[in-house]
Amino acid sequence: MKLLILLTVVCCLQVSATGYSQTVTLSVKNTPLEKVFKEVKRQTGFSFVYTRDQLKNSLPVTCNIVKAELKEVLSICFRNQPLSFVIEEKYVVVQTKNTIANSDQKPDLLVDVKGHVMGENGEPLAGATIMAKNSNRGVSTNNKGDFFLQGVIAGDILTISSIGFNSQEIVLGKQLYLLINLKLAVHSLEETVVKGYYSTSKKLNTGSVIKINGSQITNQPVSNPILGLEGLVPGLLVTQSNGLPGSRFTALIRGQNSIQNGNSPLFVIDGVPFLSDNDALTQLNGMLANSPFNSIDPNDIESIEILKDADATAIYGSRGANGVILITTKKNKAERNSLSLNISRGWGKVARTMKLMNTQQYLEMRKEAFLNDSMTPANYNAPDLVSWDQNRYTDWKKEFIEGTAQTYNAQLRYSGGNQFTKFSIGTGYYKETTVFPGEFEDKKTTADININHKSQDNKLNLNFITSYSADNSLLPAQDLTTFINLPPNSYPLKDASGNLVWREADYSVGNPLALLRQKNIVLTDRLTANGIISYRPIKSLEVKANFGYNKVSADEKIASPISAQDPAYAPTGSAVFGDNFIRTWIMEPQVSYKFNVKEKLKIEVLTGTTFQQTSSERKLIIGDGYTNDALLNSIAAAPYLSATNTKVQYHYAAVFGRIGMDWANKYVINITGRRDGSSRFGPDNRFANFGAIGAAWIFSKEKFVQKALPFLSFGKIRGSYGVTGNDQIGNYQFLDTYKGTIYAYDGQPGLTPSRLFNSDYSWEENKKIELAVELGFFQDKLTMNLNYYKNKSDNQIIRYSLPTQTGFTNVLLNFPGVVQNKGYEISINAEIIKSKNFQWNTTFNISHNQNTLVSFPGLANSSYTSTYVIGKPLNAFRGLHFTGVDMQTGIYQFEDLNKDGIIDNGDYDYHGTTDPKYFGGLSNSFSYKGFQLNILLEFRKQLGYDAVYYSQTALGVLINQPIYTLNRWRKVGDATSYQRYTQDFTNPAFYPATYNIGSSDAVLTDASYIRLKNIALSYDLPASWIKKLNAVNWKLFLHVQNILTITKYKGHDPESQSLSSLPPLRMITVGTQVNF
Amino acid sequence: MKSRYINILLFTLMLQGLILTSCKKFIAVDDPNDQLNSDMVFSDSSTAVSAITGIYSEMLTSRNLFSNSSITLYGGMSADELYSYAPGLNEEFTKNQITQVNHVNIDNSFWKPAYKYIYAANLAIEKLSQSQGLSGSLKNQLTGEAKFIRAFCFFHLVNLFGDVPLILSSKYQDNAAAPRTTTAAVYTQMINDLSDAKNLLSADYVTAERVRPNKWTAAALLSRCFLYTNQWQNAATEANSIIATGVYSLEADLNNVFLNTSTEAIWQLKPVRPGFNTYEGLDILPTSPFSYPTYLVTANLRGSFETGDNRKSTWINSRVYNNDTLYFPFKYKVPNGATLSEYYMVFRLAEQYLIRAEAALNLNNISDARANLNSLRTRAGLGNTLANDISSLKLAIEQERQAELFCEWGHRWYDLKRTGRANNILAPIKGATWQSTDVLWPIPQQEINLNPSLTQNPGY
Repeated sequence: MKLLILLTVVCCLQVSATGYSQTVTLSVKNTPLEKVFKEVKRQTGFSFVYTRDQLKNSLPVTCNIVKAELKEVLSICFRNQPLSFVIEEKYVVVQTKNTIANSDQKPDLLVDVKGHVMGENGEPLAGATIMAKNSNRGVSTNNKGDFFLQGVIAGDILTISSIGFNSQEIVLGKQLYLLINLKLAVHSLEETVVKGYYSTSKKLNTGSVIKINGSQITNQPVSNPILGLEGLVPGLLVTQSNGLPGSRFTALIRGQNSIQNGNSPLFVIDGVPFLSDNDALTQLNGMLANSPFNSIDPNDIESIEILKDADATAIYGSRGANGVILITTKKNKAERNSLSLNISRGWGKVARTMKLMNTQQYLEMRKEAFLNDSMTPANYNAPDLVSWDQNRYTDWKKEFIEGTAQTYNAQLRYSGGNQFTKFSIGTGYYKETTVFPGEFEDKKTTADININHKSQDNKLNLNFITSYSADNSLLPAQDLTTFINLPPNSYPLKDASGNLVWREADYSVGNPLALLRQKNIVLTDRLTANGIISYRPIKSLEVKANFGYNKVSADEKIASPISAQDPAYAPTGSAVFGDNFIRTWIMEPQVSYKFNVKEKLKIEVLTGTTFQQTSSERKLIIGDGYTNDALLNSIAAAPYLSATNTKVQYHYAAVFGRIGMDWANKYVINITGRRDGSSRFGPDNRFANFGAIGAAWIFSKEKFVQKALPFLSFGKIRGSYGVTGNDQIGNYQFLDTYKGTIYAYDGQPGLTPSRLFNSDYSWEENKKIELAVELGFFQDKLTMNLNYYKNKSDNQIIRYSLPTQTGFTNVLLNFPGVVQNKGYEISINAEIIKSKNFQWNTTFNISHNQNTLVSFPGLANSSYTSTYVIGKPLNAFRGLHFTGVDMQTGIYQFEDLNKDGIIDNGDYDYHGTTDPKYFGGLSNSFSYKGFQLNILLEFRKQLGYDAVYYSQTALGVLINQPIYTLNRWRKVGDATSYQRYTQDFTNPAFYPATYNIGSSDAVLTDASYIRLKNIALSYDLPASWIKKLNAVNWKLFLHVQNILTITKYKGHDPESQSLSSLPPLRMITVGTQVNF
Repeated sequence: MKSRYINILLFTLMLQGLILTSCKKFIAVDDPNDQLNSDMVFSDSSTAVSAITGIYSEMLTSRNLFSNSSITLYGGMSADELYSYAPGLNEEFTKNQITQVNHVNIDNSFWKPAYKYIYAANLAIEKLSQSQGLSGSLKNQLTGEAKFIRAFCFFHLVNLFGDVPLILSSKYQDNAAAPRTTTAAVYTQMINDLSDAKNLLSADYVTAERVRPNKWTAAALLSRCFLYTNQWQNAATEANSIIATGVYSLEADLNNVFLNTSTEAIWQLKPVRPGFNTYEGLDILPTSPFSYPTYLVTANLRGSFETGDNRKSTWINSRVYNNDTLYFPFKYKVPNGATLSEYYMVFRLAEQYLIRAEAALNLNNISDARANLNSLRTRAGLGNTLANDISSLKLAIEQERQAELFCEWGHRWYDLKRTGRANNILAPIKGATWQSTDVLWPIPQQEINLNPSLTQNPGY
């Protein structure tokens, strides 16, 4: 019922009367001020707020004004009066000039405060409480909403609260008459949902949008905000590629739509499109390349919205096919001046690794391999057996990746303002070191300013945000995890005097410590500036323009000094210098208009255009042949130089529109559309149309439902259908061009054809259908969302493989292949206990996505015949069928499917996919008095790659192996997982181990896991303690990430799965946050 | 008042409308700075030259291409010249038992690059024929070079794979399904191209060094093509014309033959990567005092030299490793290094003497055949050949070609095949693993998958 009242209130708000004139005509002579007020009220409808006391000393008014604006008229009336005025909504508040002597009053100066408390709609609120924090005084409002509070310490903080409303804090200033508007406490269903260019409420939303609040991300010690979304969002699969600071990730919303092109969602920060998750910012070092999102401080994020279905994404047209992720940064809303400080410190260690053999086990393996091969070990193939110390043991895993990473984090923010202008200035610092030996780190400094201004008449609204971040990453040129499988009795990497050792007994396995001297330095700068100007000439019409600019630059350098290379090869130094600039500007003028048809039908219309230009410039200079390490920083000192540079432009223009219709908050229809033009396509294929329709029926508003299902507090059925597009192909692919070769020939620059020429291709099309039910039970204490979707992608742009006799291996064209993603998502939220002191809230989500290649004409005769299977996921695993280790010969056996007597790719078949079957998260949050505890579990049911089989190395060669591979075949009759040891190329066991096994279904192993991903514990210090420090609140917190993983997976980590990259770390962070 | 707002609104909408009409213009983009429109490339003399030098640059940029060492190494192993020290390594080639695994390597090192250069040459020939604004002489020079490159690539393709698709245009729509063309037809095309190239190219080198093909380079490949197709008179004529120019002379010192200053060079490819000499040197020579050479000269090859042949002592070197004496080719002597002193020797005068000798013998001119052999023998420190009849001279030529051209551009492998001697010579050396079908490598399976009209060679 409360909901109903609330809705009525909202409705009233929308249809506020406008029967009064906007101008005043006043002709008076020596008339008392109070009489003037009455006349103005009669003409304009504006009420005056004053006390008779205030008017005691006022002067009579004489004037003659015809059709002037209210403000003008009042200025004349108040001229020479001991009073001033402020226009607030529909009130004119009269203020006494110089009531308070001056600001440097003594702290214990007591004042009396009067005021009026209203709801959002201006209705007086009776029984609202006003508490003066430091004065220990309080009072309630009377029936008219007025209050009078005596003996308050000047400058005290007043807290105004009322049931059903958000409480508000006001710092007492000079003004002693307060007019207070309380905002309705937002019921979760009333929470605003931003859908890009417009917003709606959760309740009336026709689309599939998930909103994640900033605190849900900052609860997790992650430096990359997107990684914090893992497990929280149904339908969004975020996968971390490794455990290095700033590492990249992939984000996939509802499966892979495109066979070959980008499957990344569109990321938008405060209205400005940002780089996608896989946009390589840097040119060097793909594996360790930074994620562009690493430059964003999670603490600056207000919320992240994930847009999934056609209704939510079609307004993004050609860029909406893979979903949209909107990041909104924090803006100051309070008028109070406040200073907040957040400091934390953390420690991280590799959470899960494999146990490798020790020297004794390793040598046993090696000796057995030679015995099996009937070969005698010699120095050239077995220094570990014939020359090196047989008892020496180094745990290389411990040497290389078992250090402790440290994090340091601090944020400082000052915000303030008044009711018209608010601002906030913040700065942050973050530093993370690595688990590797050596001084490596990633440092990030951020700063931002945001200003919000609205005019007194509330018509003009300006909002400016500028944020800057500088990230300085210094990492080794290669992931040291690659080297943990060095022979355990290999030579020490440093001699007694600290010099690198490269070989023993003339045999070298390299020296990974040399990598510590090969520094990979990346300086990333990001500047985002964004402005929104909106003007509402009348309440129902808004003219708005969005301007945004975004610059990301990455300055990179990898130096390979002579001292980091084996001196036996008389090496020279080399250095690579890279420069990358990506600039985007966007301008989006928009007009929106709201009106009612009859009483019940509310209509919102929006139209706008987008202009965007992105240019990216890259330079790469390679300096070779340095003979002195000291000169490595100098490009000029390089004996040989080669350089490349590219400049790429992307222009994009669009017109978009939306019509939203809402009949009595019961039936909602939302139509969106966009016409896009993109420079990525040939001149004849640049424009395309996209659009969607969404509808919702809030059936819980129907009387018969309310009668039949009284426990159902909310019920909605919604659905949407629409077409979106994907243009994530490279730029300029339609041009018939030559490009430069890397090296000149005989002093003459070289040119080589860029590609096979085809300019006739256009957008990938993605048709999305969604059906969903949203339910709330028992006053919405239990809410539930059930979504079903089916997305089909057609007109696939692929690099169609061609035989090389055509000159190239592929040509870019539209291909009538169809990819389908269908699945369901369930999310449940339950307020299990909600008492004054103790609250327990649980949310759970689970998603299932079925990816299918529906059609691929001519697959059998195409190059994709070994990659794709019609009717199976794109991410299909095709290969041999592993039938186990032959008990007689001890060699891996495979099924000869085509019975031709040879095991080769003719025997390949489909064996499964590594796409997760289902995934999701379970989050519990408890609060007891000042304590807050959040526990997040993440789970995934999936197949992954087996660490040993997939590595395609023969067990027995000069490489250490996981200890469980000791379970190998030794004699006839042994039933084992691993075949006989061998180290000889020519042994018949060698090929199956180095080739066949890796392309067989043996590599598919259960990589499902349940991960205790995050525990966040915080404690708010009691008010009585912090009062002495003049703080508003003070919080201590402990965050633990990646605590425990339950899995059958045998490799390092079931998420990253790679043997050679650093698994995700377990992080513990302690910190404190204080607000003054 | 209200009308003012409406005016603002109208103005905004008009502005939007105005901008919208210029949408088409708005999304037009500049050409990328690192790419040039194909037609523009061939309208300017400097960029047109770059379209040709680009092919040479690509031939030399990355390692493991037929054009910079792979033909020497893999041809040498398929024949009886080279093997790897590491047991098992490259055994598929030394035992002539190439399996699917090596189809990828064969594709990447031989088939793919050859057809890429052919495409670039075809495109250049097409664009040059339509080009305006280039001088006639430059057009001739560049068309000649493109035709030469096309023939050069096809020469290696037919000798490695037998029948191959004969691709003469840049249209992928036409070429994607093209089947294999008979070797004879490919040779006919090569001979046509080379005859054209000979006419189009100037006798002088266009730059200071011998690194861009001239008339005599085309003639050198042409004489080889005639030799391979048993057109003895033509082969003799071409070889003769080259030797007669007097531009080229045999280096007296064997150490100087592969230098960039070599006087017997007809065409050299000049290494492009700064800090490196040839990849042949880099691949073959041990690069540190501790390392062993990867590719070793077979005992068979070492044993084939006559006593006192200076080529054995100058062009083969050895190193002791793990108590083994390892012999490796030493024609190129610089593994890498800042100073560029060695270029890839693609065509040199010595081969023309050998061609002339063989052509003369087949034209029954025994004295000419002997004289040509003796020019090379003298240089190698040997006396005149003792062979004096057709059958003994045939063997003497085979022996002389082996000694002079060993580990050079696959000469030995090609010679054994074209003379029909592969079975006789390789079967005893390789043993049971040799089959007569091994003379042709397999067509890379990947290419067959993409073009089902390609057939596989017998034995694979």
